[in-house]
This record gives sequence, C-alpha cells and structure tokens, in this order.
Amino acid sequence: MRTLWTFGDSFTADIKDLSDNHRQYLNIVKQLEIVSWPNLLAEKLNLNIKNLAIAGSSNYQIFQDFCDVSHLINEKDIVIIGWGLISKFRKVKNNEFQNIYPNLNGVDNEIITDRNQDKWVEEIYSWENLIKTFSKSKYFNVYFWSGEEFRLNHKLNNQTLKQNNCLSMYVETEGKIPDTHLGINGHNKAADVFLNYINNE
Amino acid sequence: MNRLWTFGCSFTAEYNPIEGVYHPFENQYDRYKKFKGGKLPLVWSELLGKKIEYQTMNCGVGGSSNYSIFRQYINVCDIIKKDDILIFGWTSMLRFPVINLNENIVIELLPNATNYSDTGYSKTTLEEVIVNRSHPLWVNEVLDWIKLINMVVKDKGAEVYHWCSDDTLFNQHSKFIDERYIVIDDPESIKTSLMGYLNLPKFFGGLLKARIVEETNGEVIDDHMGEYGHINQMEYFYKHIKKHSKILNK
Repeated sequence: MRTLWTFGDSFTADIKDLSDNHRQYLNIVKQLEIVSWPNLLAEKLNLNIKNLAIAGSSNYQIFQDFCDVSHLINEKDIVIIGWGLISKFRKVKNNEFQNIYPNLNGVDNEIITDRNQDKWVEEIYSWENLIKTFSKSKYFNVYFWSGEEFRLNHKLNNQTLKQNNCLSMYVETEGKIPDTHLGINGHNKAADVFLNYINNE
Repeated sequence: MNRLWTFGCSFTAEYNPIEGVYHPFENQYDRYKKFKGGKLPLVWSELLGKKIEYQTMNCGVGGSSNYSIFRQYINVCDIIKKDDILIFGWTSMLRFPVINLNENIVIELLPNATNYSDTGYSKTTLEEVIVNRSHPLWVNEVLDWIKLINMVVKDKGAEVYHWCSDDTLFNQHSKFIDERYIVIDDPESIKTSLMGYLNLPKFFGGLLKARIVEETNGEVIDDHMGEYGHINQMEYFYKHIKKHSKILNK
C-alpha cells in the first residue's frame, strides 16, 4: 500500500500530548481528541500515513528527518513537507538537539539576528531542489508548504488555509483559546485543501 | 565524456592565487606559484580526471563549511548523468555559515575566524557556537545528508565516494564504512586523519614533502597539499575507486 509521508512542525504534527490550550479547547468544543489533517488526508487518499512532523522543529530538523527516512520512500508515495520559520535553529543541549524558537527574549539574540535574514530562504529552496530531483528519480510526488513562514513562496501556505476557512482554535473559540494552531474543524478543512491541491497538481 | 564531480573545501579546490589583483598583497598560493617557476601544479581532482579519462568538474571552494559543500552538490544535482563519478571531501564539523549583514551574502565562519564583525556575532557567541558544534550529535546531520546523496546518485546511475578532512565525521573505524568511503586502508596505521596519513614520509621515499610548507622547505607557510601531495592523494583515491568502481570496471 502506498504511503503519505508528512514532515514539519506543529502545523503538521499529530496532537498526542495535549497542551493546556488543547485541553481547554476540547472542553469548549466538547470533543475528546483532535485528529490532525495528515491522518484525515491519508484516509481520503486511501494511503498509509507516516506523519513524522514534530512540534517545534526547525527546518534543519525537518530536513534531517526527511533525509533519515529517504530510503524508505517508495514509488507513487506522496510526501508533504511543511517548513517552519527560517529563523528557527538548533543547538545541542543535554546531548540532544534543541530547536530554538526566535521569540525567546534575550536568548541567542545574535544568532537570531543572523537566522532571521531573508537570505536563508535560499537554503530551503536548495533543499527543495534536491528533494524534487530525488522525487523524479524515485517517482514519488512531493509538495511543499509552510504554516507560518511568509517569506517562502509556496502556492500552499497559512494564507491558503485561512482563505479556505481552516479555523484556528483561537478563531473557532472566538478568542477564548490563545492558540493559532488549527482546531478540529480546521484540520478537517485543511485535509480537503490538501486533497484539492494534490488533485489539481 | 563522463564527468568527475568533486565537492569540498580547500583540500579539494583549485589553488587560488590573487594574481596581482590587490598588488602588492599576495597570498601563499602566489608565493607557491613563484616557487614553482610561475606555473601551479594540478590538484588531485584534475589529475584523477585525466587518469580515468573523465572531464573534471571541480566544485570545491576554499573555506567551505559542510553546509556549503552540500549546496555545491545541490546546485548541480540536476545535471549529473549516468556513469558520472562524484567525490565529496567533507570538512571540519566546526565550520558553519552565517550572513554577512552588510553585503547580504552567506559567508563561512571557521574556528579560527578573526574577521566576523559584519556578521553581528560577538567573539563569545562565536566561541559558544563552535563549542556546541563540537558535540558528536552534529555528525548525524551530515551523515543523514550523505544518506540522501547516496540515494539520489544511485538512482541517477552515477557513483559516489566520500572522504573527509575531519576524522570526527568518519574514519576507518566508523561502523558504516563501505566501498563508498575513502578512508585509511592501512590496518597498521594509528592515525585516523586521512590528510595526516597522506602526508606520511612513507609515500615519499622517507621524506616529508606532501604539503606546500614541506615542499618549499618552509619558504611558503601553507599546510595544503603541494605538487607531490596532490599526486599522492590522486593515486590513493584512484586505487580505491579502481578497486570498487562498477562504472570503471565495466
């Protein structure tokens, strides 16, 4: 059976460990769980799902995650990679990679200034170029998008989701939950948006 | 004609003398050129290309970090063809790219960097990053790139080899070493650095003459390979590739 592979950050990741925001949101909407759009999309496409996205991942982590399983991707599989902010970076702490989010006040400011330069967009495009070359030789389909990095020029992005009424928990609860990640309806709609995108491409 | 693609840092790149552009300043390669009577010798990639009758496409650039070496390959990955041969010379794990904020270009920060004022990095931050990058976990990042490269190259019907000037990335004792990795093949060797091994006097009739500094008897202080060092490196690589290459042994 073919597989849908998804890579990315919190905009793609499965919601396994519920945050406070998630718990409050589920209380408000009176549901028990949030099924992420990759799972819903795989069901619509009748594919196995391998969602390797991890909340908080930097693009370096996302790309490494892809490289790490590249030998397992087969012909006719579908790969969707959702990049995060280009300013996120990694460092090693306590013998593991820590992904640094750029709004941590006063921490690593010099690195964040560097990492926040538009020029780094080119690095992402270069990785995409290699992944596309790989996809052509391996005969799988690959799609790129980003949940929050507006400097990446993809047809599919956070704006596309908003335009298609993929509501965040914040919007869906009319501001009660301060979280811009998708809610249950948002994930359902997002799966449709990705499905349409894949079918049209 | 098939092509030999080489990627790497100064241990792969052509010699790059300033050639009077900033007269009267000159670099070590200008001095070496003078020592050699006005003509620089060929580097190992050119020599190897001639030996196997391949057109050498040397993409190596002095001072590159592994990030840039990876980019050198990505820039040409579309035009690599069946039966081409690729050799990656990976470099120091401590090097990393940053943006020069004044010129908006990517530059490389090396562990001994002295000129980084345009990057916005303080000496303290620079040192902290370098210490962080000395952690072995960073090796996995490059090894995962290599995994993808190997897949793409194989799918193209080309062949790839890897060597490195930083033996913390891999060496002859690394568990995953196979025919695609050019490492020290001497079980007696106590060295793990391939570059250090290729400098050994045993390759030069008991003399130390691989590097420019040795070849010029200290006249030009430069640790890169000189004429004899490049010939030795080429012969070492040729021996490895000839032994393992399916393409060359068709």
